[in-house]
Amino acid sequence: MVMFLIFLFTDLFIAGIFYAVYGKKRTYTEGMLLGVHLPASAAESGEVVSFMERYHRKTKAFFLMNTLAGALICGICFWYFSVFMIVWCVWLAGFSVGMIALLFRNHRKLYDLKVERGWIGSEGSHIMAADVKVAAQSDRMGISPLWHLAAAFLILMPCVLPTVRYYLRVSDDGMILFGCSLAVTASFAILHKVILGMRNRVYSEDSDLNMKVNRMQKTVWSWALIGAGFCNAAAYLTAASSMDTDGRISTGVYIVYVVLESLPGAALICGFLYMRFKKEKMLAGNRHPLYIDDDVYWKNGWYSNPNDRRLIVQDWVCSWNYTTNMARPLGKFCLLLGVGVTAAVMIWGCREMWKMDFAPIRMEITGEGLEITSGAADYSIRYDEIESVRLLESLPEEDYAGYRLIKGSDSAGKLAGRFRGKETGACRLYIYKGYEPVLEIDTKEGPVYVNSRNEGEAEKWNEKLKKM
Amino acid sequence: MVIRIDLSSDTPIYVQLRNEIVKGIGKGELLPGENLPTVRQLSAELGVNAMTVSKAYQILKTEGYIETDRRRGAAVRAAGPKGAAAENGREKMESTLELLSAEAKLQGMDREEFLRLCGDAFAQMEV
Repeated sequence: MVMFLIFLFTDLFIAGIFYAVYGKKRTYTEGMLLGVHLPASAAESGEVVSFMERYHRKTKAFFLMNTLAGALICGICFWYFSVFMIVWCVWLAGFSVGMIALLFRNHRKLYDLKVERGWIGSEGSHIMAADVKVAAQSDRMGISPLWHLAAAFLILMPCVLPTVRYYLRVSDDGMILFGCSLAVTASFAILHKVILGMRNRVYSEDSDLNMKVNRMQKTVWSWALIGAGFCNAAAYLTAASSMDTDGRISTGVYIVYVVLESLPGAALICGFLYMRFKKEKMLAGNRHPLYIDDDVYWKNGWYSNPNDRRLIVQDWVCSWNYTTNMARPLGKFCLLLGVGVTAAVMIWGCREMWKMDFAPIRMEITGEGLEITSGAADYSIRYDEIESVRLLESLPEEDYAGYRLIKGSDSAGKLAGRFRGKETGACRLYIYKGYEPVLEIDTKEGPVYVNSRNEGEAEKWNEKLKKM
Repeated sequence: MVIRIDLSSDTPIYVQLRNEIVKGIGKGELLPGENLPTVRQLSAELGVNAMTVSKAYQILKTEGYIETDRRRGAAVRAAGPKGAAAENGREKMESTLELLSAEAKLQGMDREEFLRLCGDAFAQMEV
């Protein structure tokens, strides 16, 4: 039920974000409609108005259909999770590709209409503009990314405590938390540096206004990213404060950790909304607007300008996003790499989950020891590591919920991998739920519990191991 | 001051850049002593090669419109072109005016109309 609710919320959130970014490009702003520069008279003409109405109808139908599909597929959660993940990945890929194709196709249609009717810039504008005064002040805009070093220092600081160092060494998740926190800080610092280095936009003939808008944007981005960095450090410090020699972090601390780790997302979204609000307010007083009609480079939806040396440029759909210059071979390579890596991660993830749900638990008794395979966290034990073997009627804990998964899988039908039991402590389970008896193999690293769906197999293993 | 570069023009980009900066200084949009962006900054803003911007700055320096300093970077020259640079500039202007006059005559423009156009263009320059 929890997974169903999480994914239902996630899918509705994804659909909402997609609609806000890609589905609402219908208003005429900054001399553009659907990313195409048009004179206001053309944007208000009957031809364009009816084109936009058709586009709006198609977009609404597309988003409604996909949001509904996203909500419905969450029901598969109650069946096999791996099947749900495969369907979910297909839904997400289809939704993303379909939405971009819908937007780009209509963008191209409107561009073709503009060229056909001979509206401004229809012959192809190749003008680039820069504000000299803004460019000269570029290095002095925003706040230094060096502030992220302070966040990194806060993350490293608990390492002076022996209990934290011990926890990081012995715990299953200690190094993951530590490494992830440092990696997130580094990512924020790199993003901060990249944003400060991005070119300034020219909105007006008035240099002071250009300066104000660009300075405000870089300052807000800087504060949002520094704030996000400190939230990340605070989340790690909360976790670090409860690290002890017991090797466990309580669920309550994890909840606080997750809440604090969610704040960077909120900081970035709030920063973006505030930036948009301030920008619109500032540009409302723009008496000499300057629109550079570079539609010829964006006519297919993506940016392709062989005269532009830049690899990364601001996207026309959402000023928060950046895209690559497809006229440069490296731009194409970056896109293919991004798509390829995403597809590979999705396929690999689905394959692993499929194995967790459908790969059977098998135990092979060989001349050297035992080989237990299950599709997740396979394990081998040498005979000299085995201390005792016995057959139990059931698992030591009262129910399966008494075992917390550390590494492996906990699906509807089986438990496989490393677990921690309330009474048992650290152990390994390779168990089909609802099947008895259970073979307990005591080792130096803790007990291992195995059972089989085939009647009498666990008893055979027990007898065979006792003879060895 | 906004610089516009036409990437499809037959005029080389460094010449367009030089002309835009000279016009900016002439119109008083760039004041004497005012700092210009560094080569790296301006090339990033315009999306052109740094060598192109560097070449434009080099020409502006030779012509005496700007001065460069290792610490301050490039700045508009307070005194304007002097000496040999001013003399070269005058020769170049005479040559350009001669060509413009010829073109005006061939297009059927009379002396008064040509001088009025020159006067209007000059009136845009504050300095």
